[in-house]
Amino acid sequence: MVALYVPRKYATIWRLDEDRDLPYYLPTTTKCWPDLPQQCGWQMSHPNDLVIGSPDRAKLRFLQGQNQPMQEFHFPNWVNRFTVLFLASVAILGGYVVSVLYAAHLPLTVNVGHRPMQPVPYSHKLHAGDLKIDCRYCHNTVETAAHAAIPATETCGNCHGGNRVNGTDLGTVRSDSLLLEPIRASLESRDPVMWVKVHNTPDFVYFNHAAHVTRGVSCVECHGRVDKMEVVEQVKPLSMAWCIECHRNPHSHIRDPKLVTQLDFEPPEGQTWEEYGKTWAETLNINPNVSCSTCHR
Amino acid sequence: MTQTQKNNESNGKRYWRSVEEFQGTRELDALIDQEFGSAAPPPTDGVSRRRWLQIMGASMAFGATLTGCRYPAEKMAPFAFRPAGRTPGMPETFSSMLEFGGFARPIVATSYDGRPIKLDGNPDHPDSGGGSDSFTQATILELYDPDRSRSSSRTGESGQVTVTWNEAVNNFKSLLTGSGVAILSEPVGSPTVRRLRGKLLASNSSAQWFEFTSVSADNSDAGSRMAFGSAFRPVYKLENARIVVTMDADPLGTDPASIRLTRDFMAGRDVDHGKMNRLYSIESDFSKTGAIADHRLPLRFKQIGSFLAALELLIDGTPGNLDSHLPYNEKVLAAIAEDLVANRGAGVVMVGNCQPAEVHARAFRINSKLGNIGKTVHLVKSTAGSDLSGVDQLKQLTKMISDGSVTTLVILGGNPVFYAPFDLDFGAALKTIKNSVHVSVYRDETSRECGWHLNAAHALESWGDGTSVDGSTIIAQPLIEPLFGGWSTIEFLAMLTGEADLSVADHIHDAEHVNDRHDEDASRQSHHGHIHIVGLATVQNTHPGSPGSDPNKAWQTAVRKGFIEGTVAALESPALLEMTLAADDGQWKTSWSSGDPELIFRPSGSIYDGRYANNGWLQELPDFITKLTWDNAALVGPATADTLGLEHGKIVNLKVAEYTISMPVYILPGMANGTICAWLGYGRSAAGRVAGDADYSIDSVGSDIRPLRTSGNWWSVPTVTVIPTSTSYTLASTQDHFRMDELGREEINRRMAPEGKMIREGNYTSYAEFLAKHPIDDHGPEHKHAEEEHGSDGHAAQWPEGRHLHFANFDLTSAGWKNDPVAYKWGMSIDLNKCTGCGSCVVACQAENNIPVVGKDQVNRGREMQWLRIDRYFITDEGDTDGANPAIARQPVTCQHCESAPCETVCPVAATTHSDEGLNDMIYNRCIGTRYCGNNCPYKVRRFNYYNFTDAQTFIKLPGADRLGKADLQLQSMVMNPEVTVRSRGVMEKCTFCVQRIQNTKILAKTEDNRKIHPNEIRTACQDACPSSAILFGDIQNPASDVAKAHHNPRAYSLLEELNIGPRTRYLARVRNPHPAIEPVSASVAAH
Repeated sequence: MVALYVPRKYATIWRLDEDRDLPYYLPTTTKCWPDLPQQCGWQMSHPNDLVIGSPDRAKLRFLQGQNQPMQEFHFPNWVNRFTVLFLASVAILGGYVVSVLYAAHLPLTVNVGHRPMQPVPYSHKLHAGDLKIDCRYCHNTVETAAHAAIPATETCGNCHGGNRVNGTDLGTVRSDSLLLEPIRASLESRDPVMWVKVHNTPDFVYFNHAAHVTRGVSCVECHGRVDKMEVVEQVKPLSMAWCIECHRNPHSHIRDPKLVTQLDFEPPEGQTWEEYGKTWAETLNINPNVSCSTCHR
Repeated sequence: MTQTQKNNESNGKRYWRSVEEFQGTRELDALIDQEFGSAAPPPTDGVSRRRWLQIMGASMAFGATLTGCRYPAEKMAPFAFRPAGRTPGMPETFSSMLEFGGFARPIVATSYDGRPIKLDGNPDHPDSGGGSDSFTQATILELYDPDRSRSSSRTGESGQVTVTWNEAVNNFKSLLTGSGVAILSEPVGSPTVRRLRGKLLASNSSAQWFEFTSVSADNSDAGSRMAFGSAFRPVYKLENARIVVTMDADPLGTDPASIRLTRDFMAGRDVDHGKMNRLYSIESDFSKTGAIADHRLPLRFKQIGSFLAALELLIDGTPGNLDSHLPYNEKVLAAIAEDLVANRGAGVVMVGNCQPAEVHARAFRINSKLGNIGKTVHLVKSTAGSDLSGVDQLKQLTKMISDGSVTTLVILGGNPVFYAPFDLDFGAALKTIKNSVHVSVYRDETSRECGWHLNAAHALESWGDGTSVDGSTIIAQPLIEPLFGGWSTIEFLAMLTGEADLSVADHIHDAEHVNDRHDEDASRQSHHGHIHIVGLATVQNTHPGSPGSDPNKAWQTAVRKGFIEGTVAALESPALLEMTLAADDGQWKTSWSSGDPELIFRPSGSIYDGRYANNGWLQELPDFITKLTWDNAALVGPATADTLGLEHGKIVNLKVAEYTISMPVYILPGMANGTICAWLGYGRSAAGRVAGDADYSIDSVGSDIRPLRTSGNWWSVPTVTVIPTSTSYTLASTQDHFRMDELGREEINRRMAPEGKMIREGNYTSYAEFLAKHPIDDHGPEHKHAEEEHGSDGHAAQWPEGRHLHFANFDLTSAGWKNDPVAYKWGMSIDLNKCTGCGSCVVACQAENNIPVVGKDQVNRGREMQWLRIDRYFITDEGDTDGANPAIARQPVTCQHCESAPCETVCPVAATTHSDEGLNDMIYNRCIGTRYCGNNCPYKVRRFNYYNFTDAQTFIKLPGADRLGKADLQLQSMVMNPEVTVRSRGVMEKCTFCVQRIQNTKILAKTEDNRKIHPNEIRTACQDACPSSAILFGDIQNPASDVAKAHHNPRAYSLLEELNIGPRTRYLARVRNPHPAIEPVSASVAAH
């Protein structure tokens, strides 16, 4: 067994000098570890210090009184062989832990794939994809406001309202479905349906939908193919690096502002995204800003 | 006058901020050396002594738990039915009204998702023109004050019993028909309340209505009764005045009409277009008006009347030429007479409300003699309900209570127990009344003495109306449902007078709004909804509209505009009566050198008469002259202090008969000899957790002066015994904070005076001469800076008194700028000629940018957070050792957005960087709090969050804090502007040029039609708030913008230009207009 002295937090390492009665401090704890003791005879005699290999003897020595001469401890020479190996493995292990923590905090890891359950299992695939309802039918403030507002329950009620409000039929599509019960309850009680936010940016970020959508940045650039999602999930990291990348090279993300809700749009035959977007960027005079105050206020 | 002479003259000036500096006390060195004041205190020590009040800065308390690494899931709650016209997250503006000093102030409220967050003046009404003052700005904080009364109650046999408004109506409606009924209100400005008053008094002839408040126009009314036979109210038209003389009046300060008067007065000081009035200020305190005056003469309170009498004698006789050998005050008198006579019909003599009626009567006579009435002084009928003054009315009421002839007293608003003259002991009298009720927003001193307390709705929560200064009718519309379910005074009166009854209220609601989904929705969500309808119907009944027109349409127009057009009060021209007024006894010439001094009372520039005491923003707003926060003090001049043995910061006892008050001494240069000034409104015991609440052992803020304010000594105490003590008291004055002059006091004067780098001022005569040679081109600066026009040294040839320095690198007009592809270059200009130092911008900035309140202890450590500060310098002549009558220079300082900002280069984490458009951006989430930037900022405009000032839960562990529930914290956070990040501990912050407004306007312009921003489209919060339009903001490279024109004004200069850091803010030098015969800008009083 290799005997290692592992000093605790405020480990004091005393050198017992034959000429003196009292021990004195060393400035640091690292000098003596692991092989210095062989040469200089450092002793560790604090009772709180963990002495692996010979704890009882160390404790006993302490209890017997500190001014007694102590038996010197020498690391065997073969320990030196493992020193480099040990240091290397610590470095590798540390690097691994740091990398894992770093990667675990990246928006790419943390945010992408976020797919919360909603109170109503609303299918974008069905409504926006198959039925081809335009995004702006529900998210109708997207061209004028910072928020692409979640629609009021009455928007859902236009088709699915049932007849529990005023006794008149508001909308008869699946008006008896159990899954749509929260909608009908909301219409009746006028309490909101509590939807769960999927795409969320920190409070110090001020993203504005209108500024992007009216300038030819499609929904698909940030939200992905929502028209193919049964349950909406986040597909882009929405991190600052990701935002800035587009602000620096906007051309391949720009299209005719009229076509922003056409999620499957591809540039005309023979044109790359870069070429197609460039013409629109010039038409619309788009020079995205990368100053901090563009997004942070 | 040659350039050298000018320089020598400037060299003869000393600029200083405080008496300590003037006298050269070494304590100041510590302040200069230590950038951030004293070191951070151990948390327990500092926090426990600090008043809990920081919460008033409001807080965002997110009680979320982290799930894994992702930030907490957020829920969204969209409307079930979205109201028509509502876009979530987009602010809307509504016109409404606030009442101040008996007058209605037209306002525009910005509402964000249904909650009002910002108040500004209504630009369409001449009383505001868009400007506002600190009181208007801070009222929004009052709306969300958790100390507001939340329920009605009455004192039952076993203590307080909660009651409903319905019970109160049922109880008092029958009582009001009986005998012994009295109603006490503040002076009634609302036409609806006046109408209901008539109705109530008609139905019960024995009932009596009294009006009383702390600060009123009673003396002016009484003076006009002497002069004209009945009460008239003067409406001043300062834009027409060339000579303005104020006698203890403060038209640019605490006057209820101050917003309008400031705007009009500054319109008459448009120096660039050859308009320049002259202001003489004769006063016993040191007011903002006095600070801006071309000639200010401090006189004792009693001498003011005598001075005016002497002035009248001089006007009647021949003023003659000014003799340069006269002492200063006699020179001023002669100059005023000469000017007034020379400008008949274009002069005005204004007397403050505190001066007795005879002085007002004489001023009316002088104005009448000079032909000013109808020109600069408009007379309109006073709306006072009685010929008696408020104090006399209250005296009468107290007498009636004590002889048992009043058994039912309804008190509508106000706080008469706190305001009442001390000798009446109104609070004790009130307790003896059988049935008393106080309708109030707070459970204040009066509520606690009354049998019933009814929690009133806030002005922003109810329908109402009022009369503005010019007499027009202003409409108040509610911006939010009553947070605590209160009723307005109008609604209560409507119920009491039978205009509406409890059953009708619901009926009205059903009938009118059944087909409107939105309103139905709103009222469903709130059981208080119906009472709004009563208020609305009652106010509408008062304003039926002109016959023949569609009443609904007229009403809608009025509500949308905020006022009813064509309701300006009719001009009256009453004949002047013969009056026998005491002749001049020459008292104004006597100088006080010993004996008992006098004590005068003035409303506080921060909290007025105490009604704003529980408002943290206002308590922490430094008073302009004293820079005092969180306190009132006995203000005395240095000579008086010497004579009486008073020391700055020591407690003094002031004794009249058997009553003594104790308050700290503040030595204020420029106070009249022998006069002690104390502000009203401090020392409240039932205000709330900010200003003091005896019920919860929270100490009062400031000293209570009420024991000396009696009905006989309402505005001044002629003789007061002064007993100095050696007890020290800490006054939190910001006047020595954030000094831009780390090089020391001597250095300040070298920099300020001879080279004019910080404050530049000049005389109108020389400026006019300059303008005659170099007229200002209003078409834009484009061609103006051609070399041949100004010579090769550019700016240097401009107005010599301005002493422009010229740095080619940062000449914003140079060719390099024009080829810059960046669309906008933001800049600001601040016209020191128009600034009065009113503080409206400071509070507006606080409201707009979620700036916290830090409390007295932190202010004392130099940690106040306001992004905008107003520096105030006293100016005296070199060699003036007593500083008896200093002139004042003012300078609002905020981040200058330097081109090569020193703060940016020292930030180790790039948390402050430069934007393309020239903004000095501050990124809070990147800041690690090294404070290097603040240290390196030459203007000292950066503020550091030493604590989590906005989070009451972590910061406040103090008396009263335990009463703050989660709901309270959420209530406070409602005042927050969602467009601005809320900062937390350890983060630097500073003025952003309202970057949220810039970005939103840019986005609006792009989304609308991909256009460029209009030249003056963006307005910062401070600019919006400024009543005199001193602050301009915009694109400095767009020649059409106001700010570009201002930057090219010959008066324009940059602060600390010699540092060569190219600030984007430029100041326009102040131009004074002294009487040519009394040339010196400041002169010591020749009283000695």
